[in-house]
Amino acid sequence: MMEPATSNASRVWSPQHVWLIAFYSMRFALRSGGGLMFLLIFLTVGLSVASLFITPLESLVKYDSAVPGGMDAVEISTTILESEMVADAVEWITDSDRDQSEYLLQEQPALLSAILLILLIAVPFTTCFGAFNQTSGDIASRGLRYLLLRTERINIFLGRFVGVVLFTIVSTIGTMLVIILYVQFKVGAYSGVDLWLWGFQGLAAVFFLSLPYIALCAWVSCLLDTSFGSLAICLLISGFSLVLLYVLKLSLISSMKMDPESLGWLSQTLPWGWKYELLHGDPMVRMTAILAMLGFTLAFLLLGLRHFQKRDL
Amino acid sequence: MAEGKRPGGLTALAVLNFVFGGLGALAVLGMIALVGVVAGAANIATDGEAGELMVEAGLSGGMLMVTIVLMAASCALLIVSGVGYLKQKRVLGRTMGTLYGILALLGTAIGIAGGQGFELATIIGLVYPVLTLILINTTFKEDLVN
Repeated sequence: MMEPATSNASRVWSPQHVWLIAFYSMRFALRSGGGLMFLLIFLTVGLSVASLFITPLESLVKYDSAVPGGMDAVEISTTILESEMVADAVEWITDSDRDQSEYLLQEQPALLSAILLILLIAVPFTTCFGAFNQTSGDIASRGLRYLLLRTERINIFLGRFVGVVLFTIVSTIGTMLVIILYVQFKVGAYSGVDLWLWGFQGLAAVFFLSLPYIALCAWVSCLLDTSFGSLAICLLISGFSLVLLYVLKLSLISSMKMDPESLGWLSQTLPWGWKYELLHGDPMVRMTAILAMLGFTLAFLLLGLRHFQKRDL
Repeated sequence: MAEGKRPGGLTALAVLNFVFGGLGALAVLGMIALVGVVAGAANIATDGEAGELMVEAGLSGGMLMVTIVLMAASCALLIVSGVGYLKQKRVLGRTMGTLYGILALLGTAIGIAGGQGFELATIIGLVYPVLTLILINTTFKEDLVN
């Protein structure tokens, strides 16, 4: 049953209300278990991914420094990360050409590129931990009824979304800052300017990739009355959509004898398929990927908002 | 605030304390077993060989004991403060939690001074103690007053 509209609340979208709800949502994110878990998971995953590449490099530098005429961090990084084998691996992971792998490994700090490539795989899943409980918990506890006396549904929905986006930005900046500072001062393989510029672009890529998944979680969160159910469904959608896409691709190739190269567009029906374009060397491709992410975000938000406006709170 | 409902974050922190405390206790038991194995091998080997065994295992007697004691104390503090968070106690929760955070930082500092080195894994290990220190002394400060 729909809630009756309140007479004292504004019936239209109010940026002030959205900002107020977003600010308090972000401020109290840590007080909720979800916000704390997200911060812990994102920091641990981000730093573990970085450690996956940095620790072996540091071990090699340590080992080589003990040998007369051994290589330093710059030489080791260049020798390993800019090798043909790594370039092939990057081409395979990113499903791109040699130009793009050269851009990632030779024109930009290769170590940070490697970290970002793996981090982008984890982002859709880690994002779910921070965004799953935008409204579902309060729907279950009927807590939103108190807010509905003071503002409209659209402001609550958008305010919670913006709050999660802000909290995600803060968490992402914190994690990337630790990684970049560590690479700059401890590893010391790249110039500061290159590292920070590329780090900023990586940060933007993580941010834009997380946007559609936060919007997806906003939609799922207002569909369900349980926050745990919302988390489970968000994670399932993020993971199973990829499995379904892969199975569909395989079946099209095997049954309809389609050329695998011609099915590249299939993966781009999901935000997942655009993630590495966010780190592309061509600014136009990068901009298209950003627009695609914003498009997905808008679509999920509109679907969520449509349901949130109608549902019983 | 103290009489109010416990925030979800504080409950999550308590659960994490029990998880990390339990895993840490297992690690302490494992280290004690390792010491037993090394000591047993040292009884068989000559003095020089025993020293080499210790070095090969990356252990020095004093540092190992300090590590085991610090880890055991951290685990105990984690579990005790976890109970304190659930009951929203000031001493059992906030004080013990703060002590855990300080002990973990101290343990890391001793490890670095002892030659373990500062790596990214060190920072990962510091994430939880630092978060605990910040959260229980700011976000959950008013909730731990019983």
